[in-house]
Amino acid sequence: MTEEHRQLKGGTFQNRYLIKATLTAKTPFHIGDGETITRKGMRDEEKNKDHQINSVATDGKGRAYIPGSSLRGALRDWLCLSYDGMTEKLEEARKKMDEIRDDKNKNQQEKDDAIVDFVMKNSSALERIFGTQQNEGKLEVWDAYCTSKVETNIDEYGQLCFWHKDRITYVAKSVAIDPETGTAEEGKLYNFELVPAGAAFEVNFSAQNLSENEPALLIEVLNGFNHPTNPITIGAMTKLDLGKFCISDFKIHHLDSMNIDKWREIAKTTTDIRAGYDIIADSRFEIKKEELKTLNKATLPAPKFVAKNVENWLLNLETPLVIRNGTFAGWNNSAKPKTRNYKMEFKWNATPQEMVTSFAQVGDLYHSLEIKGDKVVPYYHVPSSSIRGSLRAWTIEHLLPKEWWNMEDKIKESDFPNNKPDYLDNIISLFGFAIEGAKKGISKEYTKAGRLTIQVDRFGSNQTSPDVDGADWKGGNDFGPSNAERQIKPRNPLDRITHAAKEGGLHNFLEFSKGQKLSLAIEILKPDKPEQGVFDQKLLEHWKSEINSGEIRFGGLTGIGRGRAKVITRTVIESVKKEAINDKI
Amino acid sequence: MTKFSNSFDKLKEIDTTGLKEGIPYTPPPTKASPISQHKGTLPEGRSKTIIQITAAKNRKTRMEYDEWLSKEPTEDHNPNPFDFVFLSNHPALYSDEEIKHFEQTQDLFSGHLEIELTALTPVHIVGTQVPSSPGHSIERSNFYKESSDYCIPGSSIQGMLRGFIEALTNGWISQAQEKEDPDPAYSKSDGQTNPQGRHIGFDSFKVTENTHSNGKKSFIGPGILPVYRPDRTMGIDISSYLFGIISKEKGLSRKHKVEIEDAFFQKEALKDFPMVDINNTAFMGGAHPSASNWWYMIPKVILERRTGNGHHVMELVGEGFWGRKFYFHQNPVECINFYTNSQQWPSNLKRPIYEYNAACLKEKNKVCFNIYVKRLPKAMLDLLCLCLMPGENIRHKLGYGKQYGYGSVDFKIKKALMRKEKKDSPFDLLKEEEWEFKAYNPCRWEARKDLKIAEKSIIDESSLKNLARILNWQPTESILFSYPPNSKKYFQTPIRYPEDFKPLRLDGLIGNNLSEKNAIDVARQLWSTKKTIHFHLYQARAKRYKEIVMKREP
Repeated sequence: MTEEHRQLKGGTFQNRYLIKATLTAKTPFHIGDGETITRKGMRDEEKNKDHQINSVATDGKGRAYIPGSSLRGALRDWLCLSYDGMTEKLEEARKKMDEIRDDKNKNQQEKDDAIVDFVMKNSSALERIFGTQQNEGKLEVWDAYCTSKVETNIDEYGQLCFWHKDRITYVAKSVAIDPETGTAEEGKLYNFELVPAGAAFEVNFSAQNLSENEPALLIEVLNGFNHPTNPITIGAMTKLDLGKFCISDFKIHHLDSMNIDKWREIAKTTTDIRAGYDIIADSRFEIKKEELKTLNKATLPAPKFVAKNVENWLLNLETPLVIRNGTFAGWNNSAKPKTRNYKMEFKWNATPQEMVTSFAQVGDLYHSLEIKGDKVVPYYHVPSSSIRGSLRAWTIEHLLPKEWWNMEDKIKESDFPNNKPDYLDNIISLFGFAIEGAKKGISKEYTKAGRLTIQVDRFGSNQTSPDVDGADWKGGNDFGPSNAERQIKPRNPLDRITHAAKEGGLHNFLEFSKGQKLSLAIEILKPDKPEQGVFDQKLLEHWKSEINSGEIRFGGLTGIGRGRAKVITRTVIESVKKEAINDKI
Repeated sequence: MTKFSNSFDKLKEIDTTGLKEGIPYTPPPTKASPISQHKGTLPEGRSKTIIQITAAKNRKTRMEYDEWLSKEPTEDHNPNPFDFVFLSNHPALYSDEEIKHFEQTQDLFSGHLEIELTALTPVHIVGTQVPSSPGHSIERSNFYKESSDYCIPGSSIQGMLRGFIEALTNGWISQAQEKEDPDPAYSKSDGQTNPQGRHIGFDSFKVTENTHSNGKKSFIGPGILPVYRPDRTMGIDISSYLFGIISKEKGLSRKHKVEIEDAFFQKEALKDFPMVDINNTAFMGGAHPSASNWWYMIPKVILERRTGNGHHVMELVGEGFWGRKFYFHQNPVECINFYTNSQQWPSNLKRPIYEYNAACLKEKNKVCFNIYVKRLPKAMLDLLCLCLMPGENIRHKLGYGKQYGYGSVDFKIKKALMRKEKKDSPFDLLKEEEWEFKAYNPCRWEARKDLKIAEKSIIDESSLKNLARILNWQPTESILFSYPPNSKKYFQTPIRYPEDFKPLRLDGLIGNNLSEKNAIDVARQLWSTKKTIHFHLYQARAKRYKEIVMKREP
């Protein structure tokens, strides 16, 4: 590569690119701002305090946005993981640069020139594009603002997940279940804001002095959002299938020596509020599609082997599945006393007042929101965290001694590494683990990101009303999301003394009906140690076997047989090389 | 000061001296048994004597009652369709240490049992209930369905099994009517709007204060000894160990070890059977426990009360439920025929009895379902299996219409697919699971002595005998069980004062605590006026009760 090709951002002007596109959330995402907020209606009446919600980063108008730094970090990580040679070479050459700095035979200018020269000659494309401590990166990533306009009003009752129109977010909950008690672990119930799927953001990337293959590489990286098997993800909880996007509507603008005179001319005469390099956004600088093909892709670095195992599991629900989200729909199941399921009414999003006057509560199923047009629309689904939680609970209960089921407490109190149980490291490596407040060194050693990602597809059904015997509905019902087959299940405990129905004991809730299919994509990043890989594979075998034998169930109310599934197909997908998808622009 | 028995020890000592003349008194609230401050309004009546709180000291057993009642003459009425498994002074609980030790000394099993349920009599689980033309309430009751398939819910089977095991092992009473403090579960009614309502409000677990129209207050003890209210800080009972318990105390909830699935069957197994109900009121046979009689409650005191019409009547006050209610098996067709024949069971014109059809799982039909267990100690697995197949004589009752003989079921364990779980070493990932099909050898009642935790027998002998009496399945005996009719000398008949009471020279008993034996004497003497005074006297004098029912064994 010539010196010209190794230009840095601050070198002689060679070219400038401005890439504009639309980034649309395929799954909800959470880019936290480290703060907590409260939401009207979300209150713990027992403790007489508002629920705290981990909030997302918002722009000056209070709307969720994607900070340029988050976007830039995600692109950098992805490039680093996906291509050969995308390493931090300058870190390795730090000693050499220190020698230049310490060279007493050079004055400061000579030292600076020598450092620049060294960086130009020794940096990787990753370092030139994204920068290092020595050099500013060629790529600028701007904050991405939301372009979606949603008219759905704020929800204060919970059925629409406390949707906040102005923040463009809703609230999700996560809880860890204690394997011993089967209940929520103390202090492990979290509320967090999510930006719904369907939210669109305008993204702007500008780059200066891109040389040789770097324009093609940059576009390749941006297309990483659309990568079928190894997409770029942004934000937190990506192991729970959050933070996936698709990128579209590319517009690539280009300025170089060939058209810089045009730019100067426009800059002199324009009345546009845009100025300087922003003028490149003018259509006169846009690269046509056919020109894109001329970008030099021949010398792109080789894509890395995607070091993960991917399996698709298709599960059949052998019994109903109950995954609650803590909210209620309204149901009136009889128009007369001593009758049931007669001239019924259903109002999925009934107000608290309507609940008191007209309806009985029906516990609702887990649902989330997505943006469609100018509305947020709810949809039922099985959260990845539920599947992951059941698999993790089984793994801990069966592979660790009982006194280790509370791993966090045990690790904190233990004298490592003398009494560490078998499989502890394997479990932590696979699922990841976070520990705070442990002895020095312990937190660092045992805090891991984990290698397991589970993606759960939405149910593909279309059932307007929930199934209930009789199906005798009055008109004018609001049945809520229809993308899952569901049924109303009544429970009515009897007083053990009188055998009368327990007053206030009758309750109804929705269940995902049996017979539905649940599609899981299980991805496990390949471990460093081969024996960990053996553990991963054996564990997958046992999970399948234990699901099929009813030992692993999903969701709640397993005591009355809910949540048993059967793995009907298991497709092991070969790890694939990253595909170049540049042509899809 | 009144001393209370150990069973009431959570109430500590309650100073009742101030109760004598209705001096307002606020007993100290306690965590386990909050004191109600309920203030209902009094109907046009008054309580002559203030009821003092007492504990059911040394509760009497079924054996004692049998002894007292074994020589009663037999009358011409049928025994009541339900009876009680007597409660003890305290439940059988086990500490977490005892449970931990128990688990360490037992093999733990996971797997599932394939169960075949056979309907011995038609079984009805209420699904859709269609209203009928004016004058009747229900036209027909369909069988419960899920996802368009007929099914007996796993939750119904679990409820039945849990209730049986709670009784058998003298466990907590996990489901009982309760209202938020200060309201009692069974409220004192407003006499103006509901003259038929309760004169004495009471609660399942807490002491209840009633304020009467003359401003005086009375207190009545709980229907159930508060120690029977689930409280994990006191230990755990067998049912909660098997089926799980949610505790408000941190870390004390316990996940279930038994999972019961729904039992599905085809439409061809259904057939319509007649069911009866009373029009214009609550469901026939619906429980209406009252502290103003001795039908559900242990006799406590006799009071005199002035009604809204100015009549003086006797109020036979009870305190504390007899026990846990279970229904006898009987032939439903004969039972329904009995009710619908007005000559035998006179119907009230204002609230006539009517018949409707209910879709039932036909007798002799079989339905299969699975019960899963998770790391269940061997003794608990044996107990579970024993309770599913409780010997030659005992069968369960399930679903709606138990009072008429519906819902008698038999369970057979067809197959058990189990594996022994490792306790000390982890699951061996490199090996296939060792599932074993086991031919199930039914545990018998004779083996119950082996079912122990910390040297304490899991099965409560007295409760077993009670259960065996009620749930005995002997179709050849053809005993008919029916509710007392709505006619003279039964529930609707008051005991007037002085006409019915004074000639018996029982005045001296009014207002004083009554022994249970004395209460039987009072009921005997009032028999010709009213038969439905004392539950156990009524049963003992019923047709074929002493000869057959009283002699039943597990």
